[in-house]
Amino acid sequence: MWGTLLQTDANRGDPVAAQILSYAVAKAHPATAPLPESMTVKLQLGGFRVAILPPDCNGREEMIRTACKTANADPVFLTVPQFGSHQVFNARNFPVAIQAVSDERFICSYLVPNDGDEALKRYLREGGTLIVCQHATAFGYEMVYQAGKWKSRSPQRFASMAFELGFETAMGFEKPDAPTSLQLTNDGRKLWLDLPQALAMDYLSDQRWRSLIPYRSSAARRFTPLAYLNRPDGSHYPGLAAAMIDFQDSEFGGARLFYLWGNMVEGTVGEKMLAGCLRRVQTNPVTQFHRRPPP
Amino acid sequence: MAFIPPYGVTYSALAECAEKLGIDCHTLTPQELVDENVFTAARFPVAIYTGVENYYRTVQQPGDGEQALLRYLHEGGMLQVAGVCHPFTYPIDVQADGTEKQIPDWILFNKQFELFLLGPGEKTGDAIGFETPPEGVTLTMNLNPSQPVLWDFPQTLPFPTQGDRRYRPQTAEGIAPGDQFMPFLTTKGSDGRDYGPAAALIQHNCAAFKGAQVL
Repeated sequence: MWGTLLQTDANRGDPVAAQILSYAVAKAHPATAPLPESMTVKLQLGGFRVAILPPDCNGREEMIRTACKTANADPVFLTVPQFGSHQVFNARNFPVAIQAVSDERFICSYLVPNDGDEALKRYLREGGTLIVCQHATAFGYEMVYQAGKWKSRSPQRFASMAFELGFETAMGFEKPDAPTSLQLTNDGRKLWLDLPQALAMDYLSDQRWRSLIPYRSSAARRFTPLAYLNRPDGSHYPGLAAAMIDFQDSEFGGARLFYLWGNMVEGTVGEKMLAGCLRRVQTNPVTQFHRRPPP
Repeated sequence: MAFIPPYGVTYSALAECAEKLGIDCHTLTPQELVDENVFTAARFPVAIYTGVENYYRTVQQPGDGEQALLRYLHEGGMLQVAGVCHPFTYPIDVQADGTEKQIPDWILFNKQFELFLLGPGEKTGDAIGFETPPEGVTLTMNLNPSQPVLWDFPQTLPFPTQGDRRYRPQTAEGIAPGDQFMPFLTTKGSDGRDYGPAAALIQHNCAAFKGAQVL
């Protein structure tokens, strides 16, 4: 089949693709062997699975596992092909996904341009809950697979990937002038009952402050501040250290996003923070699946 | 179904369509392609190629990518080739350090399984390849009325005016005796010439690929 045909008006609405695929289904020999176990990725419904997104979360695997165990959740560290596969990575298989990458990168393009972007957006369109807790600036650099190599690059897009996912961050500082502490809001205290108020930020290995820009709640999303970063005199640094965004009447309606300043999600504090978010999802599950249902 | 690497511009359209149709599809990595326990006709009755002229020649051992595809056809699998321009021309060799090297030499691996395509200016009795449509000639794509694949398609269709118009038609010349060649969409010119099939089906009866089909 001359592939150009699939890109012309003749295939608008997919008739050519549908017919050649249907022909194959009807005329190919039936499968006589099961898939290898490693590829049997259609997970059974039920349970509380959490997808940890690639490329990595160097050094935080145990912390994430412990948090999941505390919340009776089952962590699955996805490979890049699994992340890009809708059959694997969808909101039905994984009610929660965690973006805990050890630096500022994210998977932008793997098999085709921007398929990584699309996997994340599709997940939110399906009503998934995304916990973003990567170090420093979330979704700061694009990872693109080209000619057998991963390359990182500055964003090549009009709006940042974070903005496209419904939030924005700001550059705060590289290192604080004085000791900082975390102050939970009322909603934050409900979420993290086991965290002290205030919490000294003296355990951070990376002090770069990247605050979440607060949005006003609207018909499109409800914005719930969870925590501020404070100076020694008790005043807030601009922006938020953590918040929950419930998407409502919008493209991602029914989805939820937790933004946690990734640098503070470390050790036992990080465990408690993640476990609190997971418990919140369990007790208040997203029920309004939206638009495109998972396979 | 298995989508086999590398992946090109037609991948999205086919993968999304397959998903809508509820077909169980898997997108193979190069390592899975050459794994004899994974990429078999018994596990994946249909394999789909969407690359743009390139293909994996070597992944772990010299030539194992080519061998994987030949083995698959030997097992009687159905290969759907839906790449633009000239599929299986340029090899990709995975290097020892895991990086991929795109080789600029024309290998034309497609010939090894009787997918004979004509390059620009090449001509046989039933087909002519070109880089751009010949000037002053109106091209029309004609559906073969007895073909079994496209049951809902116009009998005639103007040749595309946009997109990648490099035409690499398939020819029956060279097909092994006993193998069936069924063109189902053929381009004809207002100059009375036959520019050859844009789509065809080969049903193999030869010893090497008995039972296999290449669309």
